[in-house]
Amino acid sequence: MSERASRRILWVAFAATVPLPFFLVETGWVPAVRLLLLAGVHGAVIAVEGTQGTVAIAAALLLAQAALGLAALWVLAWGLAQGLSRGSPRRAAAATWAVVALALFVTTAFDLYRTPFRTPALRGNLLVLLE
Amino acid sequence: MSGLRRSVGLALLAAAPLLATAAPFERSEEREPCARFDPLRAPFFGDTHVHTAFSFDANALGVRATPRDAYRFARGEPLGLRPFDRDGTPRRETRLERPLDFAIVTDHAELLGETRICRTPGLPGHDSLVCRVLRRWPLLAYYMVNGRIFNVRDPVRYRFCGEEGGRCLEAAASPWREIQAAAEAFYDRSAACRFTSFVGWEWSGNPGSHMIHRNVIFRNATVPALPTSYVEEPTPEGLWRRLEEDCLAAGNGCDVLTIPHNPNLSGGRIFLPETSAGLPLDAEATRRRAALEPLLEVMQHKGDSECRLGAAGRIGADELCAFEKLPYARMDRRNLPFLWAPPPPGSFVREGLAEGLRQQARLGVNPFRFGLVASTDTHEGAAGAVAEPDFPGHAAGGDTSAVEVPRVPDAFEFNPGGLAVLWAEENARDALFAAMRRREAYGTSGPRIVVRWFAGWEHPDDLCRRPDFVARGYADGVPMGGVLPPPPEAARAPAFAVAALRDLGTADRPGTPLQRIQIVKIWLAADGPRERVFEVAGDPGNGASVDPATCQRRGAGFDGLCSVWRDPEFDREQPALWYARVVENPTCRWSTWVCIAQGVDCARPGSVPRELRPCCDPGRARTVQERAWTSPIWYVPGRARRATR
Repeated sequence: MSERASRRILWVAFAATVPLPFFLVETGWVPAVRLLLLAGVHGAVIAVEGTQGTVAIAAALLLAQAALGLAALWVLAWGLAQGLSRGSPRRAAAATWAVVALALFVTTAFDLYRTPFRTPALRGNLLVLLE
Repeated sequence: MSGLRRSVGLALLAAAPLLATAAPFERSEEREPCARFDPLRAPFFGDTHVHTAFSFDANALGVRATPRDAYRFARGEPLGLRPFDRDGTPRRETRLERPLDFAIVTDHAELLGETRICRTPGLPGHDSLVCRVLRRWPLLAYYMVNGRIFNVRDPVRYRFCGEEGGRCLEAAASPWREIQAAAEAFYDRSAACRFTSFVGWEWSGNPGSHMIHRNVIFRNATVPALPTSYVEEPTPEGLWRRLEEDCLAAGNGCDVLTIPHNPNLSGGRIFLPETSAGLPLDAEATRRRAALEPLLEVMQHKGDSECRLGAAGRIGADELCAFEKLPYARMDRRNLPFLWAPPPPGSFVREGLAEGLRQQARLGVNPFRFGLVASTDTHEGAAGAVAEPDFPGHAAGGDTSAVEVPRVPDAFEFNPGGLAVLWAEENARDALFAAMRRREAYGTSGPRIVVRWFAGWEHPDDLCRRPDFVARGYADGVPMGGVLPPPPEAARAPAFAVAALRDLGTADRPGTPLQRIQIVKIWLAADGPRERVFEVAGDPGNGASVDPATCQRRGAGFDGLCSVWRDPEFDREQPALWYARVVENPTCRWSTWVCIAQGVDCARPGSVPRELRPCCDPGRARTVQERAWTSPIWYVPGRARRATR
């Protein structure tokens, strides 16, 4: 596996699992994809209902948080991929998938997330988040 | 019962055969006469501010109580609370220890139709994006909708409401009919007169997140075809104008009043000496407001609005004002502590009353001559659920217990709210409405303290010992909410007769003894408003306390207190007002009961769950001194008269 492929796989995995701080009236810890999903909901509402009220500000805040989070995760994935691809491509692939599996295991086994819009934020794992 | 309590009790509550000066109220409805009619009036305890699942915010938070459930609860039946199992079984239940005498369901007029559409399959608009968001992410929708409808200056309905919002207005007719039907079904029109309901709604203007909400309450079953919401009328003046057109001037027996609440969250906008358009108040607008708005909610779930934290000596602050204060002045900043700031001037009742005196001097009419009540603002349909030891939470401000049974039933800064008390001849709509209109009302922070409060020029010093305390109070003066008549030539100062009885509580949970009665005076001096708090009965230094580790009360207090007090600083040239504050001995705050029940051990911080960490915050109040606030009595130099409206 190339370093580039490893980086991309790790980045997607991190985006789907690593808890990032969330703030929009409520606070919480959620993966970047959740931020993108919420931003998408706001975007859809804007498309249908227009920008009246605070929906555009909320969408912008969500997008900004998602962009910052994804950038930080990209840096993390880049650093990790560099380290993993020092050996053979096979070992790099195995290590990459191992990191992905570890991320999925940890976020499924432990309540790392605090999902916003439930006050006090509901603690949960990846499965709860996907409900 | 002590001798003093017996004599005060007899004086306060014993019916007298006749009442020479109190005018009887008009009857506007056909009903069986009440078997119990007291010409000297009796105190009726109720809640003027109750939300159910018909309110958008309560609905988004997972509340399922309907107006009928709220009235059932008010009359003493149990109420199921969130969270609900998949089969709809509530996982919590609550019940009042003592039923209320009256209650008013005041669901938000805003989004009444939208909520119905989004929750009713098959209605046009049900499959709209906003409705889908509401059903999938209720709290996300809660904030989204707040940001579009409630917190903006020019609210606009969602497109799924159709042309000019017609579809949503049409859909609102159904819940509005159900609200009326519930009020009618639970109004006891028999001679027993056990329970009174009123038809009402809440107009929830929140421009710039400054709360200028009003509860709209109708005298009888004759009401407008639809509630007027902030979307149709985005200013209080517009609301009053619409109420005049749709109700008062309709010529069909409709009668209405409005009660503002939460000046503590209004940014000073409830007591602004100008119109919503920024123009100075004029006499005509002021008269309209004074006629439509005789009462104000001094305390509720989202904090006390009587007076502000701060040193005594300035307007609106004394040492007992440190009671159920919110740490923020706007609800949208609740989760932004770095933006918290003290509420601006005009955010508290005392400041509003003082501004009223100033405007009276300027215009000849007082726009802020309001009496005081308290209520819950429950969003669970739990009307009158004010007991601190078993507070179920009132589900306002973004809280949700929709997902799991909460360790803490509400946010720590909130409280169970209070009760409205009306002095009326009987427990029926006309009598209670007349009491509201003449401001013969008071609020309590929960306990059923009984307070009577008269002022006159000729009250004898031994009035408290006389069995005709109440009859003389009416005959020789005015009750709470009144305006003193002009002073006789020889009069030096008005005499205030105030009597209070502790809440007896129940056999299982006795009430708390009283500690003291204070009279708060506000007057207009040459250089502006002034205020002073007088101790007139009881013992502020009685040493009573409560152990926050066990909630055991210590020390003695009073079963009843009574005093005839003459204002030593009265100046007949100065406009003034006085109200009484009756204070109980300290008791545990609701949060302290929760912390004890959850076994919080602050000596082992690592063992304390996150939700319960405020239990160990030394900056949070663990005890409260529950209280009652009477409506004021006013004195207007030169033009004073007895006011019945």
